[in-house]
Amino acid sequence: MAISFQQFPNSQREPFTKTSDFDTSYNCIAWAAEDSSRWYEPDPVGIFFWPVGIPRNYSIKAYIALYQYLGYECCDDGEFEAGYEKVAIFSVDNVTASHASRQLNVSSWTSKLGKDMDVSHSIFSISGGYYGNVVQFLKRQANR
Amino acid sequence: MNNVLFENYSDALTMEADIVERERERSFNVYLTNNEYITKMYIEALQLHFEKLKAKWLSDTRLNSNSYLSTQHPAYLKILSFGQHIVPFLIRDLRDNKIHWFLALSTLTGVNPIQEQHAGKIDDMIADWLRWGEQNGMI
Repeated sequence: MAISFQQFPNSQREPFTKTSDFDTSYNCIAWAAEDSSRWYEPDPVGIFFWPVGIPRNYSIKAYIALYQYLGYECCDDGEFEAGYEKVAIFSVDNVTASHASRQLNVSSWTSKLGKDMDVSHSIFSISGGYYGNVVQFLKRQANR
Repeated sequence: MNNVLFENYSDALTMEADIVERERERSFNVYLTNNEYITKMYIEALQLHFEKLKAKWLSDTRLNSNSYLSTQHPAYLKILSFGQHIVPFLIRDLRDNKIHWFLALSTLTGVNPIQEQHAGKIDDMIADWLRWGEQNGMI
């Protein structure tokens, strides 16, 4: 189902498609790392999952450290590379991480929207809105 | 605890009206809170108020993965302001709708019954809170 949100103004100009229903079991950070079994978050109380040793805060640096812990390395762009899985970290203020997406193929990415649904989209269609823009791409070898 | 029965009448225009209103609420608290009918009416009003605030909070924060930020939303803070009386509502909503009330419950009860190995596993986290709720007569 194609949808558009006021929060994602570019979703009216490039594909932005609902691929699941509302589900509070996992979030975008987990979904980007192909984990739909947990909610990853560096909340200060320690309620949600966040690996020990990774800075427990919402900074972009902490989120990069998380994905490095999961086997990713920073890369320059979101171009599709055969044999690699890529994720993109987003930010509104260039300090705090707001979102993460996972690359599916040459043209598509997938995201979990907070507590809500999964969507497939392009980098453009999800950028410039609620989550801001990509501040870092990372990649890891597929089929590790 | 805020009394939702009086919430719609909280903006008194004069000092005298403010005094009358406070006396009315004080009378309610002193003389009527042991009345079964009044208690039932209060619980129903609280339920209605909770559902409205929850709908507003979910609508405004549904895209947000940052739970801590979501807890700063005015509707969430209002729910917290109801204090201990709202705890059974939150636990039932966890059970029925898997809405994340974990931070609110910890704040209101002062405990975190979630086992360390369950962190992030929402179904297990809910089960831990339901167990605590049953043990403490909340549900």
